This record gives sequence, structure tokens and C-alpha cells, in this order.
Amino acid sequence: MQIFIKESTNKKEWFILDLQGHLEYTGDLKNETLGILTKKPNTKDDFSFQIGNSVLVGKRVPLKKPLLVIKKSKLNNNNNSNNNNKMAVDNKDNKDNEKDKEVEYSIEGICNDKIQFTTRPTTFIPQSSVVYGSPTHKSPSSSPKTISPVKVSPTSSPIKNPEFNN
Amino acid sequence: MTPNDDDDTKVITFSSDYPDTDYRFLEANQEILDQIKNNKKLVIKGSLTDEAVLCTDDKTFTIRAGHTSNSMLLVSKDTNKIKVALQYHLELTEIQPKLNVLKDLLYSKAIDNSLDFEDDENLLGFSFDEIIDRIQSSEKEIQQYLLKLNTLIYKNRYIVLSENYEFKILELILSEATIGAWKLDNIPIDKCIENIRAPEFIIKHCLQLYSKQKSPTNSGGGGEEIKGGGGDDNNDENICSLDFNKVCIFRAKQLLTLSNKSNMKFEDFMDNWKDTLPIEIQPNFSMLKGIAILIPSSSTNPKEKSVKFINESILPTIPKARFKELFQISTRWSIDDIEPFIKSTIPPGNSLEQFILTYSRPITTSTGEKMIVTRF
Repeated sequence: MQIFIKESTNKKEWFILDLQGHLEYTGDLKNETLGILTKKPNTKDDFSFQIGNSVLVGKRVPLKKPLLVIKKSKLNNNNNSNNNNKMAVDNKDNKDNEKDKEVEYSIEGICNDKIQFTTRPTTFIPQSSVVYGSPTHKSPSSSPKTISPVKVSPTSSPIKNPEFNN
Repeated sequence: MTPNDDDDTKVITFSSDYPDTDYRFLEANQEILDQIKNNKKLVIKGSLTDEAVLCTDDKTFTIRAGHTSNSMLLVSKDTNKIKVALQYHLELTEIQPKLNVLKDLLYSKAIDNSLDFEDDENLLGFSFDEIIDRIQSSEKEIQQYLLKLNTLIYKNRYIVLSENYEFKILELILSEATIGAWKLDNIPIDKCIENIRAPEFIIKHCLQLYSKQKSPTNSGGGGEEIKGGGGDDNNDENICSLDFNKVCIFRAKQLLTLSNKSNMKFEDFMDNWKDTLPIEIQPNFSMLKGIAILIPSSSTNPKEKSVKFINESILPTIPKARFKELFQISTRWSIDDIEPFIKSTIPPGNSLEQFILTYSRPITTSTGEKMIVTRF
């Protein structure tokens, strides 16, 4: 069986974010916002990535070997008469339902570098004009809905969301 | 401090079809990039039970997934949307092409007698497209191997003769030479075709195989078709000169395969070998390099030798297993003797000495000869 890798007519440009660990989430991520990627001024390769209250500092690094972005697609056999003839010959030798549809890959782009985030994230706290502990202090309103930050290591701080009962 | 609101700030979101599991990262070395630049073919090959390979025009790479603990997010530059998060990419390593399968494939439909050509319903051999589809090698490597296997092209299909059939035809040719008192370097082709009951192109093919002419009749790919009814198109001269070496090897193989159950003593083998050959041919055991070796036939008398036939094509393809089997046949080898049996398994980039020392140890015998023995 042959799977052809062909150049796509729909070439795209991509970049890769290399995050430590893996994303943990519940529910559907479609169309959700992950974070804000900012290129630091006056630098070529430095980036920061804000995910919720966490800020990751990263750098663009070249890849040792370029990575091709390939996408799998399935060709419907009925559309191609040549494939029909070929399948007729193949079906004499083996009856394999897997060959009902042929698969091919399209090369949709090539990446020569990636933005790599290797350091531990820092916390971004928006400033408030209210003095802590004063009579006018109130609990901060719930933050906008965001994805959980990237899990860095299993030994992260055990303190979670401290709550004050003032 | 609020991030700068300029072109360098991107809001990264997940796409509407996240995660799109059809995407892969494929590592591209220079050969792959050249193929793409020249708009040439890249094919992943393999059946359901095979390990996948990637083939360019002339090279074969094995495909492995290289995993990482990091997450690589694939983001489109146009939309800043994440298509997929992957923790692996596909790595390529150049390998020797897997061509023994091709030999098995062709010989599974080898021509065994002349009657095979009279049945039109039975498709003989394989077409080039069928071969390309099944063999995990590049086209150029397949073409070279088809030449090496001495295939014929008959009705646009590649066929091989079984060894029995080939031996039979050559036997008939040599018999005609004896009956007609022809010299082996002066065989009249027309008389062979007249007297031997076999298709004409088969006889010509066998004469070609065992003659001194070096140019092959077949070429791979858009190969030249041998037509059965053709006249003297392929030979301006009507004379064929047999290669004595090839005839000797043919006779030796006959003897060794017939007595496959037990080893034949060297002296007996040489006597029988000479008896089966015409008087003007003097056989020499060095002709059988890569086909047979001499091994001690008994532990009491080290000078007594037996001839051991080794079929290189059925040895294991994994180097370690092949070395193990070779050292079971003989506990020590000279580098010259072992080279023909392991040459096809040397990975690209390795030298012969490097490869041999990976799986064996060198020793020096009491007579000062350098040999290798098993390492394990």
C-alpha cells in the first residue's frame, strides 16, 4: 500500500509554540482563547505569553531539522477511475476493507523554528488602587473565564486559591 | 503593566475544529527538502503489519515517532488559531531497502515450465505498478534489484524463471553442445532454438545469462520487451560464447543443492564437479566465493574439509541474527569469506570493518592468519 505525500495547493504559514508539560482541560476548547503572545520590543527573538494570570517568557530557536506540516486526507475511491482499475487488480490478491478509501498527505507548510518556553511561569497581578485591609476593600470580582495555566510540574505549590473571610 | 497593543501582540485562540488530528510533524532532512523543491514523489509504504517507510526517488527511510514531554502547538500565522497540540514528530532514518520481499514475491510466481506461457488466462509475474505498490523501497532501488534478479519482461510484466527451469534449459543447451560437438565459446543460437523444446526468448534469455556479454537485455522501468516471435533483433551475430565461470557455478550449485542433506567432502565434490563439466573447463573452488565455504568435517582430523552450501538469500536480514547463524555454520571466518554474506546488511554510512567488529571479534590463528569469531 502506498500513501503519497504531495505538495498542497493551499500553502499556509505556521509557527510552533513549544510549552513544557501538556494542556489539561475539561470540556470543549473550540474557539476558546488560550492567551496573548507578545513580542518584546527591541528584540528579535524574545516573546512573552500570558495565559490567564501566568506569564511565560520564551525565545525563538531554530530547529535542528525543519518540520514539515503534513495533513492527512482521505480520497473517495469512486471519484477516480484510475484508482478503480488499480483497486480491481488489488482486490484479486487481497480483500482488505481498509482500502475502500485511499489516504494521502498534503504538505501544508514548513517550520524552521519554534518559540520555546523553558522557564517557570511568573504570576501577573493587575494593580488595584484599594489598600489591602481598608474598610472599602472588597473581594476582587471573578476574573474573566480563562483556560487553566499550563501545568509545569507535579510538585507545584500546594497552596490553591487562598480565600479571605473578612 | 498592560502588554503593548501593537502588531507584535497576538491573541492565541483554539480553532473551531481543535484538535484536528489529521496534522503531523514530519522531520525533513536535506534529501526530503530536495525532493519537495523539485516536485518529486514522496511515498509512505507499508502494509498493515509492516513498519512504515518513506521513499524518495532513490532512497528509503524508516519512520519513527519521536516523543517529547513538551507540547508543540501548531498555530496558523494568518488567524493565530491553534490547530493541534502534538507531543511527537515523525523522524526519518535512512535504511537499506527491503528487497528480499521482492525476490520472494517474484519467485512465488516463477515460471516452472514452458506450459505456463500457453495459458492466456493466467497472468504471469507482476506489473511494475504492482511491484512498486508492494515493495517498501524506492523506484530506483527496485529497478536495480530487478536487473540483479535477471528478470524478463513478458507482455509488460516482470517474470523470473525458477531455478529448476533455468537449470533445465541450461542442461539442454549443454547437452546440445555435447551432441553437436560445439565449443562452449561458439554456440550457434539458431540450432539451439531449433532443437530445444522451449520458447525462443527463454532460450535466448538463458544464453544471455550464461554468456560473456555484459550488457543486459532488460532494463528496469520502461524496459525493453522481449518478444517471443522476434528474429535476430537482439543479436547481430548468431553465435553465443558461454562464460566458463558461470557454467562452473551452475554445475556446482546443482551438485550442492542435490546433496543438501549432508555435507560433501571436498575431494568428492571436486571430482564430481569436474566430471559434470566439459573437458576444456577446469573448475576452481574460488569461483564459489559467496556461494559455498569449506568447513572441517570432523574434529579428529582438522585437515579434512567439507563443502558447505550457503544460500545467502534465505539468511536472516537482521545483522545480529545473520552473524549468529553464520557462526553456527562455521565458528571462525576470514573477512574475505564472510563479506559476500553480510554485505547486503551493512547500513549506509558504515564501513565493512566497523560493521564486522560490531558483531564479532578478531583473532589471530597460530599460522598468523586473521580470523573473526563470535562476540556473544
